[in-house]
Amino acid sequence: MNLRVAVLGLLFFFALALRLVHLDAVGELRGDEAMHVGSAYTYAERGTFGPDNWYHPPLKHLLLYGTMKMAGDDATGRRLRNVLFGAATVPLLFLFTRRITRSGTAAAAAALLVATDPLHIHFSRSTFEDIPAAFCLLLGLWFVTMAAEEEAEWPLVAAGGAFGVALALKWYVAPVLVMAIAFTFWRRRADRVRLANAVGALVFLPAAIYLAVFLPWFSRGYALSEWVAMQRDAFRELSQLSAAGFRTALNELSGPGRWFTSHVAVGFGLGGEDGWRKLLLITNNPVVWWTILPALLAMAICAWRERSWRLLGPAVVFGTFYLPLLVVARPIFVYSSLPLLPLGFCAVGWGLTQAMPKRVAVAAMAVFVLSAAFFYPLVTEFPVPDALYRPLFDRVRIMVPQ
Amino acid sequence: MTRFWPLLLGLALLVVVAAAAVSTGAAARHVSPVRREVAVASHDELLREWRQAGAKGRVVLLFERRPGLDRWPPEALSTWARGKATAPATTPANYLYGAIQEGIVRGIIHVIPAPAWPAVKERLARVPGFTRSGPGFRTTTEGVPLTVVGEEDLVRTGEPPLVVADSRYAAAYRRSPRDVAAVCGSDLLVTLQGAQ
Repeated sequence: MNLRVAVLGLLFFFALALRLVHLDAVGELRGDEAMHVGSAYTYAERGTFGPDNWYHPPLKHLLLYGTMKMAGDDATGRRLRNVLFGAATVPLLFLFTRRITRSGTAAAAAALLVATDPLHIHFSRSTFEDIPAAFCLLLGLWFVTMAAEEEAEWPLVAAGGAFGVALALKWYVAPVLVMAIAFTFWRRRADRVRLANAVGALVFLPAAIYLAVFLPWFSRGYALSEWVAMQRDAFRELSQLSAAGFRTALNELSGPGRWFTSHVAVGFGLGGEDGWRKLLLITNNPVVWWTILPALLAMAICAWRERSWRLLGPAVVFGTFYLPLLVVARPIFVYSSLPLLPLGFCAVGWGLTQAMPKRVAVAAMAVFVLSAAFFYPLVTEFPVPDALYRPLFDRVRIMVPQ
Repeated sequence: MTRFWPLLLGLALLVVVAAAAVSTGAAARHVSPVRREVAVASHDELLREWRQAGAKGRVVLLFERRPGLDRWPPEALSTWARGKATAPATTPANYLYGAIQEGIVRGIIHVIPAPAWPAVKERLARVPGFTRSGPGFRTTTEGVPLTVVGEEDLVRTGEPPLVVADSRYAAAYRRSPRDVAAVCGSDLLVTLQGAQ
């Protein structure tokens, strides 16, 4: 027990350190931060949605406002919400992968991959809500898995709470919640009491949490029927978005079909001198990401052969989340892949430890960590030697911040 | 019953939150018990009248050529919300947006004169972002609903609205804004006299 706590604590503080370093390198509001921070104030204090995209659920504003009230409206306070949720995702993925694979080594590998992933680190240092949404989704999945294996009802209630929070952060978790409900109903189909409890935990509880985050909006005088109409309006506006409504730089990051098969990156030049260059990069780590789909496929095949719903879980959830993103007509940016990463890394961790010789796995892990180390200075705004990174700079579109 | 605790917990929470939402919304709407009609010279004065009347969480019935829903620039809204700047100047183009930010207005019904309605209707059917809503059209500004409706199709608002009438366009309407305000039970009719 003590060893497990020590491992979880070590993972958390390792991930926290990677995300905290140089966090206030840019003190002023950067990129979308101005909109995110402004919306946190307007929503928490007035119940209005601007200036950020109004159609997303508003829990992100309340959490951001809360951390700014605790830690200050400065670079650290603004980014602290994501730093904490991002770091907490690492030990949580350890627990999730361990439960899925029954392997501590696979769990450690998966946790190390998410701890060092350049995209996860970048957005853990930002104000985008995808980091807390990814954490809550993974938490819900972990509790659902626990609930499927244990008699106690509390894990399912905890799962409902986590899914409710995730849904109140971003709608894209809805298909996974539906899948979790279907799975739980199927597991409990013979027991009416437990079936009814699943409705309470996975339907009523998330609905209550989702509705509760709109209380500041209701405080502007709205009625329940107007809330329903507003939800319809939000869905309509969200589904009618087009690439023209976004900045050109972000459009480089659109296209879910490329996330796991290409190098997706955009840089923001921050200057440099004497052969050193500083920029902020939004990037996947192709060395690791290209192994995600094969690892999920291998895991799913193994699960099918062993008739193991546990091993099948990550691939099914990954597909449930990813396939809708592939078919929607609106632009989907690479930060929407963040909830997929823990599932992908779970599969990669399993593949490294279960499906290949130990020496190959160690070598692969070393390559993964080295590639992450290569990207690390670029997502944390440290200057890098121009000569070493020239091949990357030549391939990546680099914007100049306005 | 204790075997059903997750069901009961979820259900109870949902009922409590829904009740809290309903009562929060109702408590936030403030309608003056006294009916008034005032004439003002500018939209700035109009906002002052609304503030003085203590209007909160209200629906506005608009007898104007255009709804003043131009958004403040995002940076201006952000810095104002953070208490680091004053609100942008009130103009005919943005006064309703300002009233939304202040919590005075929560919904807008823009009434179009009957003679102009067929042409407006045809145009709105082609404008992206507008959808059919009953006899009129609906769109939103940062989630705040704007309903555009012909005066002949105007039905009861369901609650006493704030009414705004621009005297320059009063003749275009078949029904006077004063009659409509009386029928709807409005507590405050503000007439803009020669506003730019």
